Amino acid sequence: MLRNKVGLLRHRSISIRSISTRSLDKCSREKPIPGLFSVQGWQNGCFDRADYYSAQLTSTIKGNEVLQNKSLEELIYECGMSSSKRNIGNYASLLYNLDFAVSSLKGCQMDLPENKPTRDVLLENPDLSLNFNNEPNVTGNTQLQDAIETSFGSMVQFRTLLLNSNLSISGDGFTWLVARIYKPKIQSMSTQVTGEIKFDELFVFNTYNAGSPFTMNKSNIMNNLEKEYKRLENERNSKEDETVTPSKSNTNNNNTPSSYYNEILSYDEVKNIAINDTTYVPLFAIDASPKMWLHDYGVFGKKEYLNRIWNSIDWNVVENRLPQKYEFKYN
Amino acid sequence: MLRSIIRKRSIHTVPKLPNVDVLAKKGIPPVLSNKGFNTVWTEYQTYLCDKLTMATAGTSLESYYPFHIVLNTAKKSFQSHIFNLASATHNNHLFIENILPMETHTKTGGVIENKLSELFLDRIERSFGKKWEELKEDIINDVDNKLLGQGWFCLVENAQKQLQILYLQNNGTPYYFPRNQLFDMNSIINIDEFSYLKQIKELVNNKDEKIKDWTLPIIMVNLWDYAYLEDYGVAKRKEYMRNVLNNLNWNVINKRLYN
Repeated sequence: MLRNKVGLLRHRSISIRSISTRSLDKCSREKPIPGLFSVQGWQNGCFDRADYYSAQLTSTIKGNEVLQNKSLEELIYECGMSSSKRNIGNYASLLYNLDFAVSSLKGCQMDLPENKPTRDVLLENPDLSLNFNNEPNVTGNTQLQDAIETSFGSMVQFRTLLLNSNLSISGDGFTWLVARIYKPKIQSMSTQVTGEIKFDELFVFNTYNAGSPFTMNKSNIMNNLEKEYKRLENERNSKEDETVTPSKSNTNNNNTPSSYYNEILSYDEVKNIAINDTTYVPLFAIDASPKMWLHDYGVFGKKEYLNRIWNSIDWNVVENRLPQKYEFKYN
Repeated sequence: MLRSIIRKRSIHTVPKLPNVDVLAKKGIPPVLSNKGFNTVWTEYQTYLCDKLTMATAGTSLESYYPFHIVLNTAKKSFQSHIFNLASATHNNHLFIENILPMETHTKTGGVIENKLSELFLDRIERSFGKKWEELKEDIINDVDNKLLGQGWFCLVENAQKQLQILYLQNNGTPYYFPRNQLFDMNSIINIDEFSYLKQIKELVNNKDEKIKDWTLPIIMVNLWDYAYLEDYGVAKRKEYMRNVLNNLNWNVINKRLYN
């Protein structure tokens, strides 16, 4: 028992030393975000997970000094695109996402629900009110309010999209608000200083499990896998030809569709052209994992959790992450 | 005719378990506390059934059992939301059945032992080349690596009567292999996984040949947060897995095996 405890302590000190999380390190375990978590829910949703992810991450990069000295972002960029290092990339990404999601929550003035929601909430009519307690305007973040209204049409549309996107994740995942930055446009068309980071529009999207907004563009990897697969298949086929198998007609058939498709750009190629030079700056994220809400809100409580998340957003933090607006809009 | 219309099934309800009152009070020791049992069965199964009813009411699927909805929607990507609910409903029922505490006393006063059948042990050794105890240890150590997010562990028997291990991501189903959801597509897959998916794609796209999958689940373990978070906490899914595998209801499982 005692040995177990010592083991745990040692783990934690290692994880603090080698993997630091920007916001969670500043939070206190005894002081959960008000109106959102109980002490136990806070411990489950954030600290137990952060400890677990950093312990896993520490063990995957054990003995590799180069990787140990890198930040979480660098680990995601460098390991999140390689199948052999995916464990490192995944745990780094989970830790980063969790920390990022917590970092822009300040809490709200509601009491925690006394009774957890029951099955009746599934049949409730949606709330049609058009004013929400917590909007960027209220806290003086007009720049952010403008950006949201131009990108999504209105605050109501944005809130509906954001919360429903998260509600539709049934397993683990995060819903992100991001600003799109398109590099070539900035370089070529900006009349002001080049190299400045500017965004043209805001977007909401989901990532699942350990997905990360930094490693969205995987079309290169899929193309490489496709090539590798073809190479292996050809090798197999040529071996079969050397022996007795008369399966030539078969291989010919396989080749026809791909050459036919080659005349039109494949979906992946188009995607590659469209997003290769585009990056997304995360402004804000909501954690969808039941680990976050199951303890305080129960099986039927995700909606209630999301309503409170909305009321708990610290718009100051979100606006500080907003790059400058780029006047030209491309579609 | 009239009778069959009246009997038409249109609302999904939580199946009644034997001794459910006792289970709600005592849980399933030592695997689940009463709170844990209520979360994963009473509440979560109610949630799934209600959602499934809402998703299928008024459609041609409304008179189907979850199992048939799974088979019917597995091939239709536009009905994924229904597939997910039906698959979870069915899987969770399989799970709770194979961890129910076993009735050890018969009505006539005899004693039934909760024991693995010789057939099962033999099948395990022939399929995996190792003993059940060794295999169990492997599974427990594997669990965190195989499933980063939510999902199910499933020991299945295929058409050749061989046993296999599947880790179903999120709400995959063991009954139809293109919908096993064996890989986490959110992280980078390797060339073996890619080849596997590619071959499945070719099989699915081949209109001349109908895919036949006679795989049947033997052991199902719920690895979603609803099952273990309450009693074990975030970092101890492994311990939960050990507890489940050590306290299975063999009476149920032995019967699932082909003989």
